[in-house]
Amino acid sequence: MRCRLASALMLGLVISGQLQAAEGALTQSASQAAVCSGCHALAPGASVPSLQGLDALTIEEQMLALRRADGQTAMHRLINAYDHAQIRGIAKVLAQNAFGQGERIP
Amino acid sequence: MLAAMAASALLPARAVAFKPKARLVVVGGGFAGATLARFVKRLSPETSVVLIEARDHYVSCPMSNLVIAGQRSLASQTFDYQGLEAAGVDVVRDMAIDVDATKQRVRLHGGAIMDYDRLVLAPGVMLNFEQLSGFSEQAAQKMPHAWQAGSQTILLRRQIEAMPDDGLVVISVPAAPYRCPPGPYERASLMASYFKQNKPRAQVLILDSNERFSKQALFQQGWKRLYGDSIRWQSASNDGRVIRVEPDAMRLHTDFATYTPDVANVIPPQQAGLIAHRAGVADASGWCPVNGLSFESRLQRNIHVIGDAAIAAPMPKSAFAANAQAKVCAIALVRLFRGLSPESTVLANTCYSFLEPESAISISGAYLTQDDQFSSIAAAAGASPLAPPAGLQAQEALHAADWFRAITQETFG
Ligand SMILES: Cc1cc2nc3c(=O)[nH]c(=O)nc-3n(C[C@H](O)[C@H](O)[C@H](O)COP(=O)(O)OP(=O)(O)OC[C@H]3O[C@@H](n4cnc5c(N)ncnc54)[C@H](O)[C@@H]3O)c2cc1C
Repeated sequence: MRCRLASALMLGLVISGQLQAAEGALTQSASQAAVCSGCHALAPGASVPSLQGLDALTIEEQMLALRRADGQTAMHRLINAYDHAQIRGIAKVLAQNAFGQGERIP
Repeated sequence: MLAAMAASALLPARAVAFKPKARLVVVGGGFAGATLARFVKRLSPETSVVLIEARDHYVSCPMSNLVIAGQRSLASQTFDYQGLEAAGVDVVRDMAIDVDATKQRVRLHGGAIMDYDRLVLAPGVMLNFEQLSGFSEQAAQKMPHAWQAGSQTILLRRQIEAMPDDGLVVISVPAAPYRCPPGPYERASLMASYFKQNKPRAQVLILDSNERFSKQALFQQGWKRLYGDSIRWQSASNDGRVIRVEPDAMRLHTDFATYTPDVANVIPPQQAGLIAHRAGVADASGWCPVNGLSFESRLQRNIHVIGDAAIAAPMPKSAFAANAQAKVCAIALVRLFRGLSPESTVLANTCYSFLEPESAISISGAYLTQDDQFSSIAAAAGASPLAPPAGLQAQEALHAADWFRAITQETFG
């Protein structure tokens, strides 16, 4: 009995662990961050950088710098849609690679 | 079997984890549907994802105006569904012909019936040929629309190559809303760029059913600078609305004038793809009203509509928007499958348009989603500057190319 209970508990833990991992990708920050990959590919382009492999703080700082800069690209406009808390949340999701986009690298 | 029963008897509290896996059916493998299918599979590998797509290959409209100008090949616009299959999406090559929203099933042309827990319709647009007197699918062999990429794109390319050096092209623009608001004006720009090199006396006339257009000041300034007077534009109130065409005689009629151009690019009025009407999710406008958080139809439960077919104004009908909506809808669907409610988010869009092959302009917007609407976030809305610093339009052309590479890689893998 004890043995069965233990294995049942373990199974439960494994399941909830998996759910939790996936739920990071289901948050509001995740749905805001989901837009980014429409332009930012895994590999850097001729002019649009990749966001792969950057830590959350670096992404956050770069986004904040973009907001202060007076450049005139699309991203200089779009950045104004997000407040600091949203930027921090988006940076965290992108750094965690929450959507598992890494799998697309051949 | 016995072992399975024993295991589930052990775990009453976890029974939810063993319920049959959710069945998602997606109709349409364009920028909206293919992105959605891939994203749901990635977020929730246990969900069964079936993608029904009528065609073997997808031919992208974005960048297709460069094909018309002779700057890109159609092959570079063409994608297959192997990447989706490799990602675990069950791709069914067939045409969905009917939806029973009550029984939650889709009927395919080949006879198969598919049951769903949730259905996503992403069929893009249907061209309303009959709304323009004299026009038809057959007439489009003479007066191509090239508003669905493929053989129509090639036909229009051939026609402008073959026309006389001092020839006239008319582009007829339907009343909004239609897919890709800046598309007709980008097309005029790129045709003029081809003419500048190859037929300097050729002219483009845009007959418009609207009073104004996307990035208007930027386009008109670019036209003047690059092409002098070779692109002319007539608004609806300036007798620009084409009301009847005669394809055999190559004539187009407005209220007060008749035009006989060498090439007529007639873009017909549009509405949501036919299957959306069959499913009962389109309203009297011909488009599909949706909840802003989940993209669930306001007219039928458990059916979601994304991409061009959905009413997401002020978001435009663009591939960028379709792809972004798909990802947000995917997250909402997985939340719903797990018993969580969909949440508000911020969506974004950028449409790049080429003024000539190496320079482009852009317009962008961000949108707060709420259950009853999408609202533009004023601080993020705007277009490229009218007095661009040196190099900006060249940089935006690179951005456009990078965007296309990223979005097609993400959508089709
Ligand atoms: C000339 C031109 C230039 C453009 N340029 C840009 C641009 O630069 N940037 C941009 O963002 N957007 C651009 N667009 C707009 C863009 O093409 C559309 O907004 C985008 O394709 C919408 O995606 P969708 O998935 O909603 O529809 P679609 O891409 O049309 O995909 C719908 C898919 O569903 C399939 N389908 C439909 N009905 C059924 C059915 N019943 N059963 C099975 N399959 C079905 C179709 O075969 C198709 O593959 C341009 C459009 C044009 C015409």
